[in-house]
Amino acid sequence: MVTIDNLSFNYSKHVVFNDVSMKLEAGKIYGLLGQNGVGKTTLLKIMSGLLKLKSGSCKVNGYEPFQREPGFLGELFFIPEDFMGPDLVVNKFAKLRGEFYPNYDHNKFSRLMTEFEVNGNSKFTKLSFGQQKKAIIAFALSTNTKLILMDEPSNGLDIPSKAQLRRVISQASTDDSCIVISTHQVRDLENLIDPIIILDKNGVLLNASIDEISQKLCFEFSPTVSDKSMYSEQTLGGYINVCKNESNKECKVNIEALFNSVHQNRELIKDIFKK
Amino acid sequence: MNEFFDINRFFQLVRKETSERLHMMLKIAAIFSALLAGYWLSIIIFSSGDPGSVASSRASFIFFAAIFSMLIAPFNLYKSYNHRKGGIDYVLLPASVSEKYLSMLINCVILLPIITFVSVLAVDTIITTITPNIFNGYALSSLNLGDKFAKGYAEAIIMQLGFIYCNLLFRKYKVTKTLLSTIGLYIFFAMILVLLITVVFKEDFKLMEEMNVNIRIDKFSDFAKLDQSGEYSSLFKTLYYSSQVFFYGILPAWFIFGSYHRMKTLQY
Repeated sequence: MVTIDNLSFNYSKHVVFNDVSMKLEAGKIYGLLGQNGVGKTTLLKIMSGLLKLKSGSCKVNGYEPFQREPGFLGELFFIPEDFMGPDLVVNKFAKLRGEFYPNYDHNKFSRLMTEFEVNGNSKFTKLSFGQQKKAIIAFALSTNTKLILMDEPSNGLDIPSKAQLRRVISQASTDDSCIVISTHQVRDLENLIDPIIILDKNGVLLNASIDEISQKLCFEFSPTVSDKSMYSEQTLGGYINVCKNESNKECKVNIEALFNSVHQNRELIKDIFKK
Repeated sequence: MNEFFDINRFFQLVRKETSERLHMMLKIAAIFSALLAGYWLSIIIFSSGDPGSVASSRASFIFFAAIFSMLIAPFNLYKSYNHRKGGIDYVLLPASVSEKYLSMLINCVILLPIITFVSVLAVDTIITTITPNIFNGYALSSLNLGDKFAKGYAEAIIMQLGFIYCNLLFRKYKVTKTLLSTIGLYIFFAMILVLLITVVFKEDFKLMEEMNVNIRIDKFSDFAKLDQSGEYSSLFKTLYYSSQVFFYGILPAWFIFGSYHRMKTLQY
């Protein structure tokens, strides 16, 4: 679906990516994690053809994104973090734009709008930020494009909407489609994103499935800090310890603890996940 | 799928663009119509006993409104095209750059001026019918859509292509920067002209003085008058034809390809 080889990108003197390579496959919902400024949005923009890479290559469904050819754009949808809809009725917006996407399903759009409890007969400008976001997510999922890129989709959503979002995205995911979600709110999307990509300055720290992570790392809750832990985090009533999984016993992945342990043990994690 | 141009997709795009921007087009047309209505009201209030407004001057206003609305169109209808956030939605719409550019031209060069023209003309016709003593004669009967209009429209289109290019080129303070660029270009060409007149073609102009010839140059097309006399040097004629090629050929081509290139390579 997406193949990135030796990608380098910089904003004048600020290097964002240096020699980054990764592959994203169809049928998965990728979680793109990273600290502020490591280039999550930049990566999404490169994949969607909004930014031109400085060197290396990026191919999406065989297309070079920056060429922005209609065939490529018809199979991609990018939801920016701060989407502001036009001064247009949502249903009209969806109908007019839907015609450009070969697999657009207006019934699906209506169903998702009902599920999100957003009135499609309102203008975007009359909706709150969260409602606008839900409307564009509903539209994005209804286009049935092969690649959907979401930048912080849960930002601005209320608590029930976050649960709706998880449900809707998991239902929309098919074997042919790939969804990439960039987020800071890992708890909002826990149990949804798999595999997980953690970005660091200049590159990818981790790109592994939840299965792989749980086979190689163990997330244990204990009253004390474990001697074996590479990272421990105090919580109510004890500690979450992240250590190497030496017993081959699978355990539930705590994404927040994973993120922090990856950042504290860059080399060790790279070593553990070396294929 | 044709990646460069697909006629069905193009018409889909025109339909989408027009229905999305119709609201703004009607707003612009309403402003010019309101100006005419305001003029009518001002005559009623301030000029009692005056003969009223002649049709030819209102016809000129209708042309002015149509051309002016055309010139400001890119800054109103497509102002967010190159906006880092606002432009994403449009740039990622599955249509080619050539289709997007052509649809932009249709909205800016054809639809908006026509809507403005028809709407102001309709207001004029209504007012003239109601108060024939204030608006003397229908502007419709004084409209001259002949050769002069076609030439003026063609020149406005060239300017419009430049404005579309500037609208894509500048991300902030588009109108100010466009006006400054236009003034800058005007001064540049005026300087070149002065240089040619005072240095390169000094002898030709001396000859003109001796011949007591009076040629008034108000607009670019008036340079054609210089060509009507056979006395001037071939170099002078070459200058005239070169400038024709530049203004009617190279400049529009530069604006079109510049706009296309800009749309193709804009980063967000």
